[in-house]
Amino acid sequence: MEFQFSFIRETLPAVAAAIPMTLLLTLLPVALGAVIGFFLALLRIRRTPVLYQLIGLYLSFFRSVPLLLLLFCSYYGIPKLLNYALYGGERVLGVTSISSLWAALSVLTLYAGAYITELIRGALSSVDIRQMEAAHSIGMTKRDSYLRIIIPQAIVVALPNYFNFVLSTLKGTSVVFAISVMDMMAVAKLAAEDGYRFIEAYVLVGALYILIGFAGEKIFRGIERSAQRHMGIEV
Amino acid sequence: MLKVENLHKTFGEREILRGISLCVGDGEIAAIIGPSGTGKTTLLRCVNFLEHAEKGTVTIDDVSVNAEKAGRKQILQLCRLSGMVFQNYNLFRNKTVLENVTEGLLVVKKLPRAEAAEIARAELEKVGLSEFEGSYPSQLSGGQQQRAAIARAIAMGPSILLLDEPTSALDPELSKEVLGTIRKVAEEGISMLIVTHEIDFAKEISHRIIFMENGVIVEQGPPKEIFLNPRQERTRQFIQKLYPADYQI
Repeated sequence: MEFQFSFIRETLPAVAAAIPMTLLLTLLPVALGAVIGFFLALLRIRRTPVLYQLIGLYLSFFRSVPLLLLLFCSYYGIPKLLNYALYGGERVLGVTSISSLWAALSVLTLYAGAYITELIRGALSSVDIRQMEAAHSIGMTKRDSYLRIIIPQAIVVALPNYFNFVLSTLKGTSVVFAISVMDMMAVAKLAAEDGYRFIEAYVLVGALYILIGFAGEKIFRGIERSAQRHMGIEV
Repeated sequence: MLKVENLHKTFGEREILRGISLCVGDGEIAAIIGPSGTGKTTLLRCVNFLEHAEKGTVTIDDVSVNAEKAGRKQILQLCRLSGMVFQNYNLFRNKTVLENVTEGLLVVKKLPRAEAAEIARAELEKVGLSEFEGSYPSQLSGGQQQRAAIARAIAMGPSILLLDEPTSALDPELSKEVLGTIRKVAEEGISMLIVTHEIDFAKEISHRIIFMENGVIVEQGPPKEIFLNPRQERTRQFIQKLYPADYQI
């Protein structure tokens, strides 16, 4: 079977049309994940008893279970769980009852939240805490010191790792086809099945991932640099 | 005026401060000297509650805080009446020199931006950093950073300036530059409590020397008295060690 460029040409529009879906699956979770991450990192640093352990449990769970498994669990598991919880085990809800897109988005968000929490916690603890003492010495409250001194510096430290995670999430979204969310990968696969043009489909979708990834890197690099300039770090 | 009464502080099992009482009057400059590990820095940090003493009272002007029942608000009030200069400068690294100085004026004193900048520029001129107001701490030498830190502290108009070994992280040349700045600030009549190992500087600048050892004040008095005619044997030994061989008391 020859490599068919015509297949790529014909399939490109359909796969390209799924780019927004892939971007949605990437950007929404990493944005919400950043919010979750910030709150949890700050809470975890305070080491409030109970809360500290609960957050720890969340982090371990979402960081050690493979993404694919998490997707299956939510997509197939949640309807089942609801059936047991609400209807005494009778099969009322099935996989069609919950939207696969919502399942994917929530799993990806919680997954991102866990990673970003650790990432931000690391960044926060890398900031020289003696600046807090200086802030205290001029009468600033803890809240102000965190908001104006510590967190801005932590963000600059966290950015490279955060963007790294965004790119890895971009690639991670390619497994959502398993619960029939129509992202780039799913559309390409579906097109390939009609005539077994898998290599062509993978080359096409791979090229698109590379393009998006490159564009992302360029943008991220620009943001990182301008953030560093605001700390007087020569770039 | 700063008044410290019967301050006690322990770290774990170790008693660092064992009942310290002292007073620094308006416009007075007092220097604390003594061997390492005797609690000089801890004493300073207890004054503005960077370390929380277990017992004792700190009074600056009309704000009096009892360590045993100190609330967050009271502590901040105390901080607003005192300025501190740290061994490692501790400038805000995400802010320019000017912003470091205006930060407290804007956030704590809630001054309008223009007024804060005006005050800050005046202080920066005093410490000789006018041309560096747009620089970030990472672009400055240690001496320049420490001068900026001094400007940040005095811009708040504190009743007393606490200096914690302000030159011990600097080489002799930079250290001279910072000592010059402190001298200049001292001439304006602000009270100071300085912990230092620069004995000659302490002798020259201060009205009173406080000799501390093992968490207690062994002896205090005018520099002349302490250096030439100490009453306590322990003080004599310490000073003898500072000026060995050819120096006779």
